[in-house]
Parts: sequence; C-alpha cells; structure tokens
Amino acid sequence: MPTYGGDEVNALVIDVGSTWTRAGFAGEDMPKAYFPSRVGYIESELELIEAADDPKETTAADIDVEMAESGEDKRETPVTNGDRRKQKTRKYFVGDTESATWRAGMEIGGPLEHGLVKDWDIYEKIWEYAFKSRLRVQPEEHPVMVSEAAWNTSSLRTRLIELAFEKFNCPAFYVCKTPVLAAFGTGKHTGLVVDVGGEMASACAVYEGFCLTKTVCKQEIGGELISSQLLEQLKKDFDYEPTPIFDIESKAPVDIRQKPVVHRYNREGTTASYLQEMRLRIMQEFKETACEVIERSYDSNNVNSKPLKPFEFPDGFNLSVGAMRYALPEILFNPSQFMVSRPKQLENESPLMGIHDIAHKSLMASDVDLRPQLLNNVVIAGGSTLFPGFNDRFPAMLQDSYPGSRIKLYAPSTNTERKVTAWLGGSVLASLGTFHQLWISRAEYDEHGASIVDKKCQ
Amino acid sequence: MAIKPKQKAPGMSRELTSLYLENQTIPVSLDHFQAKPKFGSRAERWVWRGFKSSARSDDLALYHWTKASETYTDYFYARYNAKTKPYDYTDEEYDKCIEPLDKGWSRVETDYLLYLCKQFDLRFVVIHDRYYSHPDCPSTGVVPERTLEDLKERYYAICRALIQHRAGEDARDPDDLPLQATNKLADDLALLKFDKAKEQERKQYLEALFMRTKDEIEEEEILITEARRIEANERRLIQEREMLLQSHCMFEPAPTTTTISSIKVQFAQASDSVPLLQSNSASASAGDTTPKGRKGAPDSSDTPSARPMKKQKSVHGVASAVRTKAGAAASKAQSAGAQSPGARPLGFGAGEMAGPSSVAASSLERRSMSPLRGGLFGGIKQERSEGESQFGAVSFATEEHLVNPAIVQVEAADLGDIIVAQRDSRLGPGVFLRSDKLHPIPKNKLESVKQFMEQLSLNCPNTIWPRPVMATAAVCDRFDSLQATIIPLLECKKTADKLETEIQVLRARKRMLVESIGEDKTEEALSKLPPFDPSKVVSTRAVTPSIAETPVASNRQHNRKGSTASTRKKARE
Repeated sequence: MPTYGGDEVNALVIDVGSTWTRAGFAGEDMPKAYFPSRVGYIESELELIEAADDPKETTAADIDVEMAESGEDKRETPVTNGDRRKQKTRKYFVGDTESATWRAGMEIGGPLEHGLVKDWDIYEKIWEYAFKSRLRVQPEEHPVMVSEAAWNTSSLRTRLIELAFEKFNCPAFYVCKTPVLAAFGTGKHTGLVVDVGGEMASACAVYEGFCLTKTVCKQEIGGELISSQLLEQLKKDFDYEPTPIFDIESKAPVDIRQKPVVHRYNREGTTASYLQEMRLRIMQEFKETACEVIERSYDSNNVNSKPLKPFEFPDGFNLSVGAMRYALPEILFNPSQFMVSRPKQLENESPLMGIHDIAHKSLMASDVDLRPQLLNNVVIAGGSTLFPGFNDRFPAMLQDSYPGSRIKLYAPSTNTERKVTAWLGGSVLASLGTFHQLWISRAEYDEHGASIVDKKCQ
Repeated sequence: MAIKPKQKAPGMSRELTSLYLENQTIPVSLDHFQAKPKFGSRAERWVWRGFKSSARSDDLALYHWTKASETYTDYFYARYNAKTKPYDYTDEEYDKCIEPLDKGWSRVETDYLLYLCKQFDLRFVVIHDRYYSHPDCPSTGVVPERTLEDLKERYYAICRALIQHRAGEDARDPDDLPLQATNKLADDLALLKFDKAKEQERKQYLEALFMRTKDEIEEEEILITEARRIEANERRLIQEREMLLQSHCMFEPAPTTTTISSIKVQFAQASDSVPLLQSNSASASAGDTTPKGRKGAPDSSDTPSARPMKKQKSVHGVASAVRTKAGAAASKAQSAGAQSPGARPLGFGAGEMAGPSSVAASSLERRSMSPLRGGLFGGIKQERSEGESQFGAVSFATEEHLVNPAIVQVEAADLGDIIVAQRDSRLGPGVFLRSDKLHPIPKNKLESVKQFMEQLSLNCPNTIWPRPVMATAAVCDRFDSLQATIIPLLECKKTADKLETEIQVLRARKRMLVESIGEDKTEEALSKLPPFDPSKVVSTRAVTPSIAETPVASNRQHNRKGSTASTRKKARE
C-alpha cells in the first residue's frame, strides 16, 4: 500500500478566480486548464415560440463541439409583451481565444464580484468549459473539489453544492476556502495567508487547516486595479489610449513617445467592456514586462535612478518606462497616495489599506498566542505578488510593524506555481488518502439537503 | 564491427567505398536496439476498483487504482480516522456537579460548547472563532462575547468536576485504590487546571511584548548586553579574588598569636574615591592653605605624638613599615583635629578613623574646618621635619591608601580610646572575612580534608579550601577545632596504612623464608636479629594527641585502635 499518504480517486479540482480559472486533476502538480475567468457573451432577445430545445442535450451529445457554439443559455424573463413571452438568450464564449475574439455586440463579464459568485450563469459556463472542453471528462464520474473565498456566504455555498449535484451530477463534492488551500499548497497547515489576486487583496489566519473567520481582512486592490490605473496614468501623462490588436489594420513605426500612426478597423458593434478587457490585457503584458516593486520604501530619488525599461504597445506607441513602473505597483502598499484616481468600488472605503495593513489587521484579530506562529509562516499567494522585489518589500514592511518578531515568508518559488497556489493545495488535499472520508456524497446531499455543506465543509 | 574495404559494404555504393584507402576500415554501427525489453517477472495487473471506507457514515464508493492481487477488508486510510473524546456528561451528572459550577452558563450553551469541542477536536482557537457563526449555534441561551479564556475555563471546570465526581462515585475506598489510580486522578486534575486570571495576565504580557516598538527593543538589547557584561565582570572579579586568597594563604607564615587584651582591633575603611579627591584638593590648596597649615602646626606639635607600638611582620615589609609611619602621622593629625576648636566628632569617620586619607576626606568635606586641615598638614610637616619619610607626605598617603587601606597599630594608652588596630598578620590588610581567620590547611592535605568534610556532609561554599557557610564566631571556632582534629587524624590514618603494607610485605618475606629454609631455621634466624625498639616505630602516637577529645573523630577511634594494634603486631614480628 502507498507509504506517502496519497491515494488518487481521480478527483477534479477547480479554482475559479476573478481573472483566471484553474482546473485539473487532483494529484497533479499543475492544473491542466488555465484560462481567463472573463467570458464573452452576446445577449439577444428572442420571442419564445415553443419550449426551447435543451442546450444540455446538445452538449451531452456532442462534447467535442466548442462551448462557444453550444453554450447557449436561456433566461426566462417575466417580460410580457402582450400575450407573448419573451426570452433573453445569452450566447457564451469561454476560453482564452474565444473570449478574446472580436464579435459584434459581445460583452465581457466575470463570474465574481468582491470575490463572491455574482453571475451563476457565467460560473456554470466556466465549469462546463473546464470539465467538458478542457479536461474532457464526465463530471458524473469524478468527485469535485472547489475553492471559495474565505468570506463566502452560506447562501452562496448552498447554490454551489446545488450546482455540483443538480447540474453536474457529481458523485462527491467538497468546497474549501482559498486561504486554507493556499497554505496547503505551500505545505503549511498554519500560517498567515496573504493573497493578492486580480480583484481582491485579502489576508487571513489559517490554524491547523481551519480558516479563522474573524481574521479575514480584505480590500479591493488587486492586479486589475493596477492595470486600470496604468491606463489612466498613460492617458494623463501622454494623452494616449492603447489600441488593442483587434482594431489595428496597419501601423507605422514612430519615435519614442510620439503619437502612434495607426489605421483602425473601427469595427461596428465593439462593446465598451470588450474594449476595456482588451486594453487590460495589454496592461497585463506591460505589468509583466516592466513593473517592479522597489525593495525598500518608495523614494522618488531612488526610483528615478533606476534603469529605464523600453516598452512598445501593439499600436506602435513606445516609451522608456521610468518611475511609472515602480509607482503603480506601489498602489499595493500605499493606495491612497499612488492611485491616479479613485475607482468606483473603492469610493466608500476609507481609509484605504495597503496589503501590509491588511495583513496587520488580520494578525491583530488573531489570538496573541498564535501571532508568532503566524508571522513565522506567512504564505504569499496570488498573481499580483509576482512583481519582482515583492518578496523583499512585503516582509520588510511587516517587520517594521513587528520589530521584535521573526518573520518568515513562504511562497512557491516559481511564478507559475504562485499563480496556482490555491489550486495546488486543492490538488494535494483531494489526493490524500485520509481526505476521502470528508467528501460530501450524493447520498448525504440527498438526505440532508444543501445545508450539509455548512456542516461538513468548515 | 568493421568491414574490410575490399568487400563491398552493404548499403553503400561502390563509388563511396572506393573513396576510402585500401586498408582503411569503415566504421559501421550495428543496430543494438531491442524493440521489446525483457523483464524478470510478469507485470502486475492493476485494476480500477471501487472502495468504501469505514470512516464514512454513508456508503460512498470512490474508485482508485489497486493491484489486482491486493484485497482489503477496510479502506487503508480509515485507520487514521482518530477522534478525540472530550468529556461528556449525563443529565444526572450535569444536575449534580456541573450545574452549581457557574451560574453564567446555561445547559444549552454548555451542550453547545461540548459539541464544538468534539467538532473541532478541542482546538479552542477555532472553537472561539466559530462560536457565534457556527450553523448549529443555538439561537437563544448563548451569552454574547465569550472570550477564549471563558470557553477554556468552562470546559476545564467541567472536566475537573466530572473527574472528581466519578472518582467519588467509585465504590472502592480511596485508600484501597492502587497507587497508580490515585496518582492518575491527581495528575488528571492537575493537567486540567485552568486559571483564567493568570491566563489573561499572561496574554496581557504577551501583548505588551508583541507590541514593543523598535526603540524599546533596541534599548532592551543594550540593557541585556550591559547586564551580561556586568555579570561577566563580577564572575571574573570573584574568580580573581579567590585566586588571590589562595595564593595569599599559601605564602602566609603561621599566624602569630598576639594578646589582644587592651587593644581593640580596628580597621579603617575609607571610601575608594577619597584618595584621588584628596590628592586633588591637596595639590590645589597647597599654596594658599600652607599658612593655615602652619598656623595649625603648633597645636599638633603640642600633642603627644603617637608612636608605633609594634612593627608588623609581613611579606610586604616595606609597605608595612611605611604604613606604620603613615599611621603615626595620621594619628598626630587626628589628635590635632580633635583638639582644635570647631572640630567635632565626625560620625563614622574622623573621630575614630585611623587612615590619613580618611581624615583628609573629612577635611575635604568640610573645607571650612581649617583647624582640622591645619592639623593634617601640620602633621605632615612634622613628619617631613623628622625626616622619616622619603616621599611627599600627601602623595605618599594617597599611594599608601591605594595599595592598602590604612591599618595601624597604636599604643592605646597614649591616645585614650581613639585608635587601636591589631590584626592577624596572616590576614593581610583590608577588610577580611571571619572565615579567613581559620587556620589554613596544608596544601597537600587539602584534597583529603575536603573529602573528609564531604563525608561528614559539611557543604562548603567555596572551591579552593573549605570554609563554613555561616561564619559566625562560634561556627568558626567549631570549624577550626574540627580541622585541627581532621588533619592529625588523616596523618594517623596515613601512617597506619603505611605500616599495614609494611607488615604485609614483611609477612610475605617471612613466608618465603619459611618455604625456602624451613620453620625452625627461620625462627632461629629471627631470634638473632637485634631486639625490637618500639620507640622507633610508634611515632604516630605523638601525632594524635587530641583525637579522642573530639566527638567528630570518635567514630574513627576504632580505626586508630586497629592501626596501633597492627603496629604492635609488627613490633612483635
């Protein structure tokens, strides 16, 4: 019998984040599928003629067909126009290329808001795409492990388990909080998990595999905020708005900081959300190429002495990035000072916290006996922690708050692993021999109803 | 494998072959690839098999790959399904022993607490975290804002009450119970003790420790290093002092006994800072105070001069000579000060202080007391005029003090009750411990005496030579007499042992003699030896005069008798 404690039952692990979704088989070291959570959809209003053919049938019958073609969802709306009922239909386009392809009238939307599932249709489409189009498995045959935000509500969990058992007919299901999984992914059962993702930055104490709910502290500063702030900064500094590649018919080389010479398609029916999404993708590239976090506290003299980095946008506009590449990531530590303009979602938040403040708040909410242990096991997760220099800066900021404590940072060493830390933890957990007693089985769901999720998944 | 060039290599054109020289071999690699590897044994068959775990309450079947040959009755990992068993109570037990514990806790809430304890395996941090948000939290009867300590206190109080209650219900008499059982009960109770106030206090301290600022931590670190340094210094000082004491004891001659009937033993202890101050003031005021000094001089010359009663015999011969001179000068000054108007008794110091520096110190303290200072300088002046001193008086006094605090021996009769100092010359100058007055143990006996004392279970605090813990006069006396007994006793033992071996050697020789020449001849030969003289052998008796008198040594008397008996035996032989 195995000696390492693992026993694989071919469980599926899916971690739907606000920007990226990871899905794969438990026991593997990388998710098989890694694609954007933002999906494209075209909404159309159709007159209901008869009972619509079940989209499920099509998918079940022909799995190999791209989701884009079969992903239709009908929403019944109580709009009555005379005596005829009208139906709103949404056609979904999930996946990296599908959602990025230009289509007239295609909107882009994400499943989560504030870390919680907001649009269940998109959420379901993502699952479907991951399981059927990417992993190419029948969810009815595999136990499914799902991640959820630490501040998830009971009603949303109930919907989640319903989705798993009613829609996907999973034989067994488990939902685990992201910080716990992130801790497991780094090989810790206790630690302070600091997760800076696309949308949210959060910190939470995990104690022996239990997420301490009172220590959960979060704020909406993440990678996307930095990207959108970058866009605004470019507009402010150079009066420039990048043209995404889908709109470029031809371009000519220009000098540094000169207006791009570009011939656009000016396609009709380009939605604002699609344009914004494409611009954010450019900014994503910009962040990955140029942006860095300064190792010590931000000092404009120090930053100006750093070497410049050249960057060329898809439309030919190019510049050597100087202070900007340090100033924008600084939003993570000092949001109120470095933000170009306050976005809508943060208008009511005051005062704005840096991520070290979030970690501090979380730590102070935990028991004093636990704090040294937590500081000794600070787990870093999330894609927005990948700025070079972050690993030096963050512990230094923490150390300033607790000069007497020993702080040790744990983070997966490779960038790809850090993007999927929580998924990795799920993969580890769902392939443990001792874990299999914890699955919520179909029988249990049938017996106790959806409320069992609160009892079994703590 | 090589192929001769003359043969046509297969798969090669004749032209290509002809490119090679006549004798050159063409390297051709042979194909060693084996399409099908051979394994020693047959491959194990693996099957995708469903399993059920006894750790699950339902019969969920999950599937995994296993060897077809392996069969299990239960799931392998079900054995790790360990659960803690928190204490639980029956209704009766609750009414009897838990109800009266704390009126602040209702039955509903207590049940809920124990349920959570079971749920989270006594992880109180988690229990406290989920206490109000748990889905099973009763809607009424739960007191808000319970702290972690509240929960712990309640749980442990319940445990203790239950243990005590169950132990009390045990029909057996507690005296009949095996010791293990009673011990276990006590252990359990001790383990489950929870002091809420202490815990809260501890957490407060922890909090304070945790919230220290950078400056506070730095300050603390500095203090710690400083404390370490001081401690190290102290240790070194003690060590050095012991070394000094040791070497001092070794070189010291046997103590001279002096009759101290009419002489008070005193030693002056002047504060360390005084000499420097004094020299400063002396040099500073040398010019302007001289007239005053002169003025005071006649007074001091009038007084009967103190003269050394007895020169101290010591290794520091010179110093001691100098010291007595200084003493003389000081006493002159002293008497001058005492007689001059305006001078009054100076508490601890001036009145009885023998050291010149201390007098000077008092003069320093009271600059207005010119007569006194005058007296001092007068004394010095006189000293100079007498030509007894080679050094400048002031600096001499300072130096003298730095080396040895003044110890003077003065004839008491001349000065009335003022100064008399007399001490054991072995002790050297300065402050000494009473235990230093104990007679030193000869170095070669030191170890054995220490051992002996250990046997008597006398614990001596220092390592170099034994000294009593509480050195009162009485204890020192006893200790001294004990030492005085032990040392001769050890001598005695040594001699006895020596004689014992000698006897054995002689006996062996006699035996050999008997074997070789026969008994008769041996007797004959022995009788020819000169008659035995006991005075030559039993010299040990002289060494042990006082043994019988001390009670400590009484248990050794038997030994002594043995040894003397053996001496006699030897004598006979």
